Amino acid sequence: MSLDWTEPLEDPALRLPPIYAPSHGQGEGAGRAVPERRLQGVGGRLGRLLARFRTVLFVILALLFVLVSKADIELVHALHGLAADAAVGVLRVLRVPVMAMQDMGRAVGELFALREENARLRAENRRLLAWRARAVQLEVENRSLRRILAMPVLELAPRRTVARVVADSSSSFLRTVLLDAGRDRGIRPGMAVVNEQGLVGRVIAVGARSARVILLTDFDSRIPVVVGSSGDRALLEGDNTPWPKLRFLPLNPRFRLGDEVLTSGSGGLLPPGLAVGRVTAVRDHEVVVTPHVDWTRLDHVAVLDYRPPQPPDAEARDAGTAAAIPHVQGGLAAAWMP
Amino acid sequence: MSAPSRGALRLLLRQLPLVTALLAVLLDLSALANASPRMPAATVAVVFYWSLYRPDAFGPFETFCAGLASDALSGLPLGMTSLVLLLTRALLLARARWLIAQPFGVVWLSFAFAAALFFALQWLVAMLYWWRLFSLTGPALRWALTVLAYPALSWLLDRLRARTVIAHAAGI
Repeated sequence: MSLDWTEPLEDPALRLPPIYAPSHGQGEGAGRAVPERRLQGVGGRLGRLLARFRTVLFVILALLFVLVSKADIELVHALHGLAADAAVGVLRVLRVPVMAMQDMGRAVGELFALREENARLRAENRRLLAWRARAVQLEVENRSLRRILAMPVLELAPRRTVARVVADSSSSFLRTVLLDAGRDRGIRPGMAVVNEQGLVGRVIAVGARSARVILLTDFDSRIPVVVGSSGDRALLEGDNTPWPKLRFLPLNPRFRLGDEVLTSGSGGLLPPGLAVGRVTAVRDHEVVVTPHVDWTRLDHVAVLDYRPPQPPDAEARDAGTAAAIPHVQGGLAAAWMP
Repeated sequence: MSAPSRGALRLLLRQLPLVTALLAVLLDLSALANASPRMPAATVAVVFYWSLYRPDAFGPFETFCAGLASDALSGLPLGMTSLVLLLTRALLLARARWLIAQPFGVVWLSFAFAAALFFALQWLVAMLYWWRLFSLTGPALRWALTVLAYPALSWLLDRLRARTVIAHAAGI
């Protein structure tokens, strides 16, 4: 038996029960017969009234939920966490074919550009080897300078927890992703999330087996950064576009287009020296940063358990500004070292 | 078929609209990172479809649940998607009797209107909630993709709906 999909299921030959007949009613009156019958035993007239105004009731309920969410209470966070925990297994499975399809598309595309890609990678490899040598040299120099100044050695390699991105809830209003690891693997709100390309974002909510990450492109993302060799400090603000902007730069900034943007570590939440992106444009009084992370290829990420150094004593605080630059360089070298 | 599995199958068939709506919610979330604003919104299409063809099995409660699941999983304020879906559904049902007898082209066009209403309402509610201006480009692009994807999704759901009817006729 085949059914024409344009034809509503009202063929008398099928002798369908009333619930399968397309219900034509006024507003919520559609399909009223079944709920009414169910409710009659419960509350007579009240039941009928409820059935009639069910849409209104649920609209009011939804509005109440929105208002409660606005109040930002713990219960709402707990509900979000519970829902994410419950769905994480299914999402992990659903993501497999999506990633496989993406990989297939990418593989076909790459086949056509293999020669160019090879040449580009060789050139990049040469450049990176030079950078590595430079990083090792700076690291050695940094260590000896620290010894001379009797500065404590920084914890440059925080503990990492590798997790998978299982869901992307990016919409026109939010830029967040869901990870398949939560409190069970020691993840806490505020932790930095990176991949091999650079900073992805930070953890904002944690469930038992899941964690939500706010991407650095989200409207609510604020990351303290330092711009390359100029040492200009700023705040990287997301605006829901793939290009976050630098705000609160010094009055006379010294950075140039193409400069690297790194986390500054101010506030002690994120480790210093994590690669974030590059300054790519200055337009309409806005400094545009292009993140290093390829957002279409976000699969495995590392969540960093960074514990900032203890607040320095009075003498060390005086020397704080002078220590800022080597602090960042040390971090950068360690971040890129194998 | 044993009695328990028969019962489970009957339950699945009875709750098929809600099950497919929840699957659509998960599908929307499993999209590629930062690419989902450029993916069709399966949830809207599925809710529209079942609200039109099976309003008895997909009432306000099911619509509310699908919206709530979507909000809870995507990190949006709880109730936001439920609210917008319920309002869109109420407007759709006012014309359901006429719409259901129309050829597919008209149903598709009506879906385009309903989806536009959904995205516009969601955009409006989000702006009121966060009290900031959001670009309309994202919702507009998503609306276009969702409308384009509707025929394929509708075809798939037609096959499923036909199966529930056949199963019912066979006494499952």
